[in-house]
Amino acid sequence: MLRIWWDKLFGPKTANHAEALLPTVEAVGEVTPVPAPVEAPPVSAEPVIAIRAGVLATMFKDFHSHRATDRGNEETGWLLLGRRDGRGATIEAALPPGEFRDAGMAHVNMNSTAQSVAMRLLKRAHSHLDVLGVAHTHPGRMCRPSQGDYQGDSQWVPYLVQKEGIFAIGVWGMEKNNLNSLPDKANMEQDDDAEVRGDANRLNTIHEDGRAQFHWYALAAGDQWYRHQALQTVEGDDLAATILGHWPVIEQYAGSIDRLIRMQGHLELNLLPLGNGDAPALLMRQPLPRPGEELQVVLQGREVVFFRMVQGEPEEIEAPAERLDSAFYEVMSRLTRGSRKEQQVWS
Amino acid sequence: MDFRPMDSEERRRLLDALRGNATGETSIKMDPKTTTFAGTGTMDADTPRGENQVIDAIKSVPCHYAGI
Repeated sequence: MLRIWWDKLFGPKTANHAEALLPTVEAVGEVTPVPAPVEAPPVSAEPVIAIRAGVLATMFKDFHSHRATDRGNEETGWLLLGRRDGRGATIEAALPPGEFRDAGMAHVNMNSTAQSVAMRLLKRAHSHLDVLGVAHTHPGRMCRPSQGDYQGDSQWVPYLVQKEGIFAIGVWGMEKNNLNSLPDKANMEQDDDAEVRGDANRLNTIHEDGRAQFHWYALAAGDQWYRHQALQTVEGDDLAATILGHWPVIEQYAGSIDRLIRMQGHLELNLLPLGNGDAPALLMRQPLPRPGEELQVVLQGREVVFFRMVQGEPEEIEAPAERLDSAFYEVMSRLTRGSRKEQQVWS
Repeated sequence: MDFRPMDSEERRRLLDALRGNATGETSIKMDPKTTTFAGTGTMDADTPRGENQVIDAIKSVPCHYAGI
């Protein structure tokens, strides 16, 4: 009688949880209603991996655009950023591979220098962001990670939070009925595939938009095989969308900016707002020794302009036509040399 | 501030925390109000990673080969 009451109230899935409370009720000897638990017990202990709808939209849009370019037969990819919560995670941003990526029909090496500069910019607004994994495309019907992928990914995942990565393989033009047909999925395996385990037929291990598909996997440090990974889609924009308009100038100067940031602890990098018809621009700010003074560098297209700001007033400075970081140090050397009196004080 | 030497148990916990932190396994927690030692945490789960660790992870992304 009591068991029937519990099953009616909470359903068979919660019967085990209810069982833990039964002795107390039975000891009373009456079938009196017991206050309902405040929280239902978890249905599954499996960590939830989610992706923002905006990120998925970015990846599909990029993939479609990429296929329409003259590099459309090359592989392409995305760096996946987001938040780890225990073993769960939410993908909140995707960074593109960059125009300066090294790619061919069977490989892609993304422009990680540009991605690292973009990450520094993103972390100023979203300090929690971390690297969660990588999505990349494969030719033909190769919707599983390859042995080559495994060799690289298995050495890379120890760098990640929880030492576990989320991976996606994008493929183009596969038949829709492959999505829900296990025999077809088995047939999709190629000789060079890495080993994958788990249930490929769970919902959301594959996302599809037109001719583009992404197949999701997970790999942890020490794993001998990838796992099919289900991803829940959650509402939310792609956090990287705010900087994608500036991507060309980020990528153009990424090498110099990266070197400067590593050496200049107080160097600040900002996006300049996109104006009407203006090319995207970046602003670098470096405090100078004298109070109220700083060096500012505006990067816009091929143009690099140095300013010394004194109490908020800009003074343009002639800079040598060298690589950005070399020109930066040449200008800094001039600005920090100071007067003879200052040299005596500073020494 | 009321200064008081650590007792032997506190000293042992702090030394364990420092050793764990040196090997990169644990973080050292501090009470922000009193700046006293507040135990240890798991580095991966509890502590946001430093920016340089994140950048290192990005720069270490391997080339992906389809192997056809």
